Amino acid sequence: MQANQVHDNMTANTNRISRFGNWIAQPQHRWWVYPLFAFIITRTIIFLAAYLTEIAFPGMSGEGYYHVNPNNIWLDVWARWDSGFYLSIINTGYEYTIGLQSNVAFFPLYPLLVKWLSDILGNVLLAGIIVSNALLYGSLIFLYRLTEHELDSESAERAVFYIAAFPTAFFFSAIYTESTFLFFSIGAMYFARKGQWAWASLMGLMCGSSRIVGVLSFGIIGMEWLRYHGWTFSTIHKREAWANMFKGIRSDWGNLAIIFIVPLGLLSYMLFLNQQFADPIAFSSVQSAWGREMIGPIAVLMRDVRLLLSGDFLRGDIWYHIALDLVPTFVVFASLWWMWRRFGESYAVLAALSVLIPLSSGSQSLSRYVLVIFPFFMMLGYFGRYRWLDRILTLTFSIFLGIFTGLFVNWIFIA
Amino acid sequence: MGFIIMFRRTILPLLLALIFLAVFNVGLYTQLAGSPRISTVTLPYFNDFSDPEILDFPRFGGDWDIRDEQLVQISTSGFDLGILLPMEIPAEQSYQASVDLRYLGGSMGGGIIFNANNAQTRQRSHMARFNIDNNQLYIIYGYFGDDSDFRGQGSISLDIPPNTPETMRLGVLVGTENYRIVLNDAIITDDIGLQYYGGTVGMITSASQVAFDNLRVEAWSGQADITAPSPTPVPVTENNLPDVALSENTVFGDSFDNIGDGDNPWVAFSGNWIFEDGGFIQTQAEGFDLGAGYNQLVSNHSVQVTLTHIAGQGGGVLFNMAEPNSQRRAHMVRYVHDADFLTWGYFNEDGQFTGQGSAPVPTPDNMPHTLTIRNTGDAYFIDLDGSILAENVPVVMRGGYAGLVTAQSHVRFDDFRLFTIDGVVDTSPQPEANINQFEAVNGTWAFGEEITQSDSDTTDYIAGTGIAGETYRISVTIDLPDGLDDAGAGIIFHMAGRDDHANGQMVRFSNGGQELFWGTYDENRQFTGAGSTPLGIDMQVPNTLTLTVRAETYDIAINDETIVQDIPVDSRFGWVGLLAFRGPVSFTNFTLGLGN
Repeated sequence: MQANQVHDNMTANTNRISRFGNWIAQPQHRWWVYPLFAFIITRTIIFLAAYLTEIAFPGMSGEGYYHVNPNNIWLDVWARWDSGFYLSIINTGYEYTIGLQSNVAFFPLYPLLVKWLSDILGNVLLAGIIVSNALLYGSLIFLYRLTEHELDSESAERAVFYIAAFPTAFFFSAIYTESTFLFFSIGAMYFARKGQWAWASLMGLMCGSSRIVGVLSFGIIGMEWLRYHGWTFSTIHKREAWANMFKGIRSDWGNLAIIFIVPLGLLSYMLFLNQQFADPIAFSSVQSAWGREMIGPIAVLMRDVRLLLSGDFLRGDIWYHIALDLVPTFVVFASLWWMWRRFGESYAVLAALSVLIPLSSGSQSLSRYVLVIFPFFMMLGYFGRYRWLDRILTLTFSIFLGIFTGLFVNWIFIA
Repeated sequence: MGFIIMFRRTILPLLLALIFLAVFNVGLYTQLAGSPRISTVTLPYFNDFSDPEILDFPRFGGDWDIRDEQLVQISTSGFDLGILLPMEIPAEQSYQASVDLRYLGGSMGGGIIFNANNAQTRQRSHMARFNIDNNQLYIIYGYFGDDSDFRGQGSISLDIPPNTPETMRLGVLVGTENYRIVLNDAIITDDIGLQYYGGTVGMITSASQVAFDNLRVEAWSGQADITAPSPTPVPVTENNLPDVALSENTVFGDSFDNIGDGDNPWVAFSGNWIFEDGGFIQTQAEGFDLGAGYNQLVSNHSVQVTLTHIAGQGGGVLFNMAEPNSQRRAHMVRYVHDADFLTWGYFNEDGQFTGQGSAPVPTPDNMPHTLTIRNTGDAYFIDLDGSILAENVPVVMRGGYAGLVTAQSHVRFDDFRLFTIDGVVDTSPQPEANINQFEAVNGTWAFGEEITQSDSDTTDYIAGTGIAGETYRISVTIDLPDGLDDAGAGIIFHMAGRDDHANGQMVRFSNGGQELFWGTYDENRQFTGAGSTPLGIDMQVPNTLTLTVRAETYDIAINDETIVQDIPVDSRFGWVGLLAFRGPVSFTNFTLGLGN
């Protein structure tokens, strides 16, 4: 090959790359391009962090610290802690032993999706990781579209990065249900906001099949339907708001009725539990085995703050999980008013209940539950317009994401 | 156009929702329903592990496999790894389970899990397994509680090398209330109380590789049916007798001929002990380790007792007791209650029995037998009717009291001899108060020659005496405080526990001694009066309250004058305590005589 021929080929390649760059930079492609960037960047961080940590640090070992596939670290590192319950559901089905931690606490949609895919791929772990990451990417797209709808495209770009880089965002790629829940949760809100009630209800139905708090979608879609017809909490004192609502019921009762399919996912699971174990709320009954006791959020907060402050911070003899869980919790609480004013009450109610329900029985794992409160990340996307804040969030989130990923794969409990 | 929009916005998602619900539900029941239940097995069950069926049974941890027609647990890294039979044994079914075990490696051991109430895990189950501690092989036994944590009920030191390659057969005989452990066809400990009843059986290992074989689970009559060689009494010869001469060193003897109420060295701490026709008889045929201690301190003693079983069997002797009123920290040798075995061992601080061995003996029938413990200080020898059953059993407890014990039997003791080994004998009479282990339930009590309760609030203050019984005579002199018109004090008996006055019957002075009243606490400790009578006595001076408690009724006397007779007794047995209403109240001359 001659020199001018090589030069021509290089020039052609450069042009092709340049054209591709221009194509994906077009505004109409942003909704999938930016989520893809955020996905690739953050997943690269966590996959590398997980792999390097697993091979560089010994981690915890012994009974209970299982390794599903020690011959493939890239896959094995994503099955830790509660992943075992999902894998047990997939491998041997649901089981329930009163008084013991049982897998009935974990809702069936994610394991069912993984089960079906693993039947094709022949590898449960791989199937689980694919489902988690695919739904994460879908979630980022929905988040982008929703934030763009509520705010603007710049806020949407930041929001998808913040949620994907949040310090506990490695759960989105693990054998956990976070990305499944997030996908259907945002989807329900997105379609509700667009007034597409059947699609919103379908998403809510699936959301309620993936986690207990998913049934909140029923209320959220209902609130959106009311808002759509002119009734909100802030107009509750106005006669015309009620008149609008009744008018909406008369004229749009079909869509209102459709919303009632949302709880059917939860009801299906409850019927199944009743048939299998004679306890339709086994997912709730089993919570005590995790030391969760319904004492109310204030009592939990007082107890945990007292525990935290009783430690010796200089020696590091503290309950660091409490700090990890309470810091984002407080930040979400502090943001509720802003969410209410800027996005509407359904967002604020969703965010508040997403924290308050688990907080009523304990603060454990709240930093993971916060991960799926997408209005919070939409708000961060909005405030990320202040460059100093954007830099702080980008830097701290990325660093802690790497650290927490390393801790997680080494069997150090994070959330 | 409108239909297309409607189809895309409403009909399509609804169809998808319908499909999702159908697929979701089908998936739940076909993909995520628990594994199909294994068909259960029933008694009798035998498995020589020639087929791998057992690998389908529920297990909790471990790496189980069938190798060379043996069930092998390979993992050495986990504790309490088990496999359970899919079996449901009723709580009222007695059964025996046994299995051959052979160590393959590791440091601890394998064993049997039984009465497992959770068919999937060790939660709420009993366990007996080998354990190596400090290069010594033991059998440890106990149960896994509601939280699945192990709670030991005792251990037995074995004279077997740790990690022996020999196959050993470990078994349990499980009754409806208690169980016993059998090793190589010999009972090594028995009468261990059950915490959980019925359930299933399985095998368990802990940090060791173990091969199991010939698992057998079958119904059991509840009576020992251990194939053991007939007892071969060892002739008493000069060579095999320990260097403990008995007769020259007799320091105390009691043929129970001259026991009076006021001169009784015996402290019955459980059961119903009476003196009758020159014998000391424990009449309560139900209950384990019902004992009476001889209240005379003799450091390093040997003991000999002649006993006759009237009903059941289970009589024996306690020695090296730390206290005369408790079997805690004491050695025990006695008949096994429903098997022709004698067992020996010791009770620890918590009252848990650790067996040191057992030996087959002839059925005692209703004949007198003489049981002798020869104690050299560091070891003891057991002989029954002149035949040595055990030699050089290590002494673990080193207290200075001896006593008598029964289990599930009505036993008459005719002769009791206490011998000194080294002449260290405290022959001074032990203070009466020492026989009691007073314990305040509430209030501020001081125990000594004079017992006082000094709190003055208007409530009942109670102290347990540490004595329990059915028929006895209690007497105590009471001095009420001057100037408190409503003060009172008295005696409470038949309490549910030594520090629990539930079910107790109370008799006390009230209104500063102007009245006597009596009544009963119910199981919730609520008091109900049963009667009262005015008193015309001078309470400026101490007065003596005496109760004569019989099986059905009791009498009250003050200063040896009977005040009330034949008041019904509500329960048959219980603990005795002192009671004060306000204070300070002092009690002196507390005496308790067994029998009537």
